[in-house]
Amino acid sequence: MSDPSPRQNDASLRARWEQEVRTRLSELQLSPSREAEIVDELSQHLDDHWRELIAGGTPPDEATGLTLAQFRSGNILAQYMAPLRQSHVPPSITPAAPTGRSASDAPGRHRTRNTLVVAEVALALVLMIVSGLMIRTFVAMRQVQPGFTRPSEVQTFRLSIPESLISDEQQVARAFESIAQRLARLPGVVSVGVSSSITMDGEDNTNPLRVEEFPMPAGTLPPFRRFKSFAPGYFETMGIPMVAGRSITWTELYERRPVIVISETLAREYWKEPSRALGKQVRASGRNPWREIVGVVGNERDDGLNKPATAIVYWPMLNESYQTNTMAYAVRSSRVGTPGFMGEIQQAVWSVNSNLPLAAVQTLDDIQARSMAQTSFAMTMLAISAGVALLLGVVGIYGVITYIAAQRKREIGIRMALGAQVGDVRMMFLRHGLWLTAIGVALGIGAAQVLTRVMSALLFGVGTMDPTTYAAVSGALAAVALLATYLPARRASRVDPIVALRSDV
Amino acid sequence: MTGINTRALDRELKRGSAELLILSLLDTRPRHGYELSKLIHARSDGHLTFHIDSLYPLLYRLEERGWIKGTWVEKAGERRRRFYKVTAEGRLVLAAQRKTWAAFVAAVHRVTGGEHV
Repeated sequence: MSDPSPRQNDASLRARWEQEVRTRLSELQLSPSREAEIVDELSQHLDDHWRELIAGGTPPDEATGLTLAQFRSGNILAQYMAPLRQSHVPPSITPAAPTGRSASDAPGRHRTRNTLVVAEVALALVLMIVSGLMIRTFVAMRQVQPGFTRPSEVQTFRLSIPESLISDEQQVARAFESIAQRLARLPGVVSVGVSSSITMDGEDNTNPLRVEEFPMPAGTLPPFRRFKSFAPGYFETMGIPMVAGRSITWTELYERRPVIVISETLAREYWKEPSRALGKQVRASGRNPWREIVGVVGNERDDGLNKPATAIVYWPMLNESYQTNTMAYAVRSSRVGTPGFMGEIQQAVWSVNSNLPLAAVQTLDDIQARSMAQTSFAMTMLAISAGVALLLGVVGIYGVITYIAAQRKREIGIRMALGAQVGDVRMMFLRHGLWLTAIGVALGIGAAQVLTRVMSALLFGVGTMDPTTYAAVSGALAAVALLATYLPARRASRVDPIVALRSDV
Repeated sequence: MTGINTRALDRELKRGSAELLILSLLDTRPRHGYELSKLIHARSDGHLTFHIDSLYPLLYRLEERGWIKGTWVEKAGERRRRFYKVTAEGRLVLAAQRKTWAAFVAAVHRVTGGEHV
């Protein structure tokens, strides 16, 4: 090598290469660290080239000129480097050209896009699982037998007879019966029931109940049971079936006969078979006389559809343990909800006593709907969120695959020119989309397992880890994601190699 | 159309094979950019030349794909140089590209009626 330059000339030459490269890179607005790396690498290249020319006998000045001329003649460097903008890490450089073909992409942005898609898929999955569980809860609740039948045909309201109006218990009961009879005579009314509480109306009166056959150890309280007082006609009107025995009569009620009716749940708790409860004796406290169980009725879900059937004791309206001056009426008629029907009910009540206001006027349907309101609201909101999240996830996958396909158009052209099959190209993109989906689904399942524990109180008839919901939702999401990937993948695989290559000339 | 644009075809063939050339040369041992350009020029008897502004973007692209990996190497008294080597993934790609290229060349040869490869 006949390098005539002394060491300081080496340094100045090096500075010149660096200046040259830096000038070419300046318009790219690279990060300082990235620019420094590229300047180093390309300057070294120019230096190597220069030294080789010198070694070949070219005079130094001429070698410098040739080296610079060759570098400057590369007039598309800036375009090749364009994708390096905004990048801090070694970028992807496709041999792109100014005519809008595969400008390459910085890996940082690529990663960000992928991360976003994965996050969208995971979010969509979590919301879909949560709303799936709520839908299953809703369906399970709809299938629960609430205890009554055809709730839209039952009008309910509450009546209170103050002591100042009628003080005698017997007279109060007579007034309630008279009103029931007037109501029963209204056109279209099938039956009328009177009870201190209608199913799920929120009345909650619980007291201990002693069972003669199962005495409690001294000093301990027997289990608490829901107490209701009722009059004949209540079970028939509500549609609560008689499981064993019979209901009571008005005569038994007025004569204060020691009879009582209990619910099936309660009967089974003590005697397994409802019929075996008949004839057994119960009372509220040691001071009261025993009462004989004459009937066992079907269960009422008094605490809500998502709660177990309540154990209920039905006391005749006139009794020594559970007395109330406020009763609820249930009126069964196909005319419920028609104009004028409530007016007729009001007139019937007032024909007995015009000082009695009707309160809590609602149909049995309203009561049932209210008991499902929380579930229904949560389900609707979650379903909407899940739908939006799914849409975002799908659009994200579709967008990313479409974008990548557009970027790699030229590369696909080359691959296909070199013999790649349509299926290979398609698979390349499908794999990418499915990979993103798989990661998103895996993360989503993990997150859902944690999050659904929080909502366990909202669920009914389905576990937080319900495998059917998880599998169905994951499968559905994967299928939609597959479609969102397949469409751009198919488009990409239809690239004409000649067109793709020509676009780079 | 009156004939084949041989210059364009030449350019496309080079572009189509660029990745294969780089990966093949790096498969033997790590090399820096200038060495790669010299080797390609020399081994192709001057038929293939990689200009500085097409070589380095190509290297960056291959590195971004994870097919090659660049490392700065410093030696006493010398400026640092960036050496590239093929990654495990790059080797798989290289094997596939070699196979495809061989099949392509053989196919073209059969069609164009060459008698010896």
